[in-house]
Amino acid sequence: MSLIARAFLVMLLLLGGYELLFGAVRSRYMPRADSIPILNAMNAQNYLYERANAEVVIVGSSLSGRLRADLLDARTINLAFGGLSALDGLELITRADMRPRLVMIESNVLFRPASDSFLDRLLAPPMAWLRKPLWALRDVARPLTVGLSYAQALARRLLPAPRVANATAGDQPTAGQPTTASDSESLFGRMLDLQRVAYSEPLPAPERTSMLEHLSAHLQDLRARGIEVRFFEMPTHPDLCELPRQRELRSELQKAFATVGYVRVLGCTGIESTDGVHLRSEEAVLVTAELRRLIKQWRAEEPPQASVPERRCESSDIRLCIS
Amino acid sequence: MLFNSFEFLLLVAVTAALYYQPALRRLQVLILVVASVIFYAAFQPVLLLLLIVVLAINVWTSHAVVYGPRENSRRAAALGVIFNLAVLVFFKYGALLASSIGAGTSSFGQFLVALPLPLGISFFTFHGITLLVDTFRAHAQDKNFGIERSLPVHSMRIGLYFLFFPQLVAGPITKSRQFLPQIVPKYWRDVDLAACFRLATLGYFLKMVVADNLAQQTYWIAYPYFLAKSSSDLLVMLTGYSLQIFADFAGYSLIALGIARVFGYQLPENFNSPYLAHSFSNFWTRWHISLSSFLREYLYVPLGGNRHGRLRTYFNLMVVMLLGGMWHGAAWSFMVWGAAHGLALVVERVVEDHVRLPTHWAFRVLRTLFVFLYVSLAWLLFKLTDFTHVLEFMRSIANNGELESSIDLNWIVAMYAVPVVAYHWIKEYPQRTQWVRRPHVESLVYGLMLFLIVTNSGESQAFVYFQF
Repeated sequence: MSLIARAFLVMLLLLGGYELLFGAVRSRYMPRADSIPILNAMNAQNYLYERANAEVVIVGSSLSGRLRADLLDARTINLAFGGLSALDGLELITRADMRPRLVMIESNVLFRPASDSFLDRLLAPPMAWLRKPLWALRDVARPLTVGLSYAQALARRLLPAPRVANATAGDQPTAGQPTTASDSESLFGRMLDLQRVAYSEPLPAPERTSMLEHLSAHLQDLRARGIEVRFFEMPTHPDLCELPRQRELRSELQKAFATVGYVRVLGCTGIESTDGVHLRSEEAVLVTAELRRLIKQWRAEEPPQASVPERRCESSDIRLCIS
Repeated sequence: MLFNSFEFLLLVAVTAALYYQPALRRLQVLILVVASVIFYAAFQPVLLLLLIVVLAINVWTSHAVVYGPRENSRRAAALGVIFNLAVLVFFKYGALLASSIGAGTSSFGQFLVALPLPLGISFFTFHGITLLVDTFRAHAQDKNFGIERSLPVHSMRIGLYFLFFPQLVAGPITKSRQFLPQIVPKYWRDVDLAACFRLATLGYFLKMVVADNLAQQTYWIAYPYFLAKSSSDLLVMLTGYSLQIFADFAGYSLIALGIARVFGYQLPENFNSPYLAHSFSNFWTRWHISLSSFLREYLYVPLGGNRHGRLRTYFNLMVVMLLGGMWHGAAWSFMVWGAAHGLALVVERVVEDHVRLPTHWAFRVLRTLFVFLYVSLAWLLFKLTDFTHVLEFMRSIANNGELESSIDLNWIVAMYAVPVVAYHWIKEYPQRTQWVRRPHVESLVYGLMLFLIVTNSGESQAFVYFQF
């Protein structure tokens, strides 16, 4: 047998063995992501393969990524992707022909176009076909990450606890967590200044046109499939809330999609944030509770429909809800 | 159409299937040229026109060098070289030069800024230069390494040399005298499929598993995010970036070598365990070998090399590295990167000229470590093209000792460093690592790499060197 045939045989054996092994430990394994893109992919695959019957889908950027999964309604899934935008979530719903009843669209970062590489990774055949039946091919089961988790657990058991923090991908989309007040102030100040500069610029015309075109196409598609849509705006630091970009984005969306509801969740008063745009955890609790109330209100207004019972996520850590 | 895309693999498969049809053997060169045009058009269809114009000028001038009047051959070669350099300067450095002389806001400056950077321009213009210089030098000695008299045949052969898709966008920079003699009818029976498989699998593994995963950790070497990282995290990320850039470019080069071999062409190796270099001059015989070899042969030696005394040698080294730095990109940070390497080479040469260095193994290990650290620090200029951010990064390394470090970052970078270290070790010590090449071990190693490519790839990123 040639090297090529032998190597492919070894690969298939490893894949089969790993599928069995991961299946055996899956229920005890706490999923983790090495990075934001992998966390995004895990989140999306969780929706596609495990929670496809979610009634309400929140699509957004890392701003909505701060929402607390454990405080959301059991039939709601948060499809917020760090570094990406709501358009990625919408594209995923469209391309994968998902059928939720309501899509909540975060309006803050809508001008960022959908990422082809992200969507291809999720949806391009043949991997997308194989991932459905095979756990081993999903990002939640990345063997080096799983191996690292167990190696770290073993090291923790054998070695005394180190002083350093155990940062994870979920902590990273913002300026990080400085330890001293002066670090925090100077870094926070710099981040806020950068955001101020960005938010002071109105959206360039090509970006605005492209955003509206894409949104319009998505909204038509969703409505044609009987899916309701609402826009919601995540609160940011008060200094940014009324700057030209945010104001323009808000008014453009309200003007172009007048029949779609637009909600400013809680407003910006009193928001400190970690970097101007990402909520602190206590702020995220309040905003999540408000979104939950809005979703509940929507349910109350909707005619009742037979729904499939959903598995409830009890954890505050989104990664714990992906398994 | 990235090398790691399904479309690319399809293109290779379809092209190879046509290429080895006995009935189409006479059209092999044409088939490869057409496949290469499709490959390039998938990235930048509009700029295909520029590529064709550059190709036409090089076809014409190289033909004129050999078959034109003998007294005009130098002029034809010089004209071609100047044209290649002019195209490179205009498209790659036009915007930088305009903004540097304060003309960035003029309408012409705006036009230059708006010009897209043609993919692979640094590589195909260098191919043009080697073609003309090699042709001229060979002709001066009444030799001919493959310039055909028939202009259509010559066009097709030079077309393949320029466009050959495995090397089109990021090299390796292949010298024409090495490539053109290889253009002969190819037979499937001559293809060493196992060698192609080894090269491509290792390349894809380095790119998709090592580089793409490390890229997600080194993403935070970006202003202002790095300000919030601890000193040790910054150093770990810098080491990670050093490994990433190696895995990315070496991965690309290995895939290029593997795919080229499927079509019967041998491209030059680009890397030889660069991070085991024990000196800076040694590093440049191991890193991006095709570029350093080009710079040595077509710039350093014509400048006088080391033949005109020490001071002139130091000057030549500095000039070559400055221009080599600038070759990488239209930003002054690349020139600073080149200057940092030039300075290292000059200082090393000065020391070696005056001091007899110890040859003890421990000293050699220390030197290797020093070269790695210096090279890694210099890569920062690739990641942060704004020089003030580079200084901020250095300041953060010095000042952020009190911030908390991330255990995960250390573990992840260490984990993805293992294959890079192993690759260096196996390549550097082939005798001691002979056991890896035993058939059953080799099957396990390549099987494991395939398994990890399928299950553990990072998010697909463009190759770092595509931007150059």
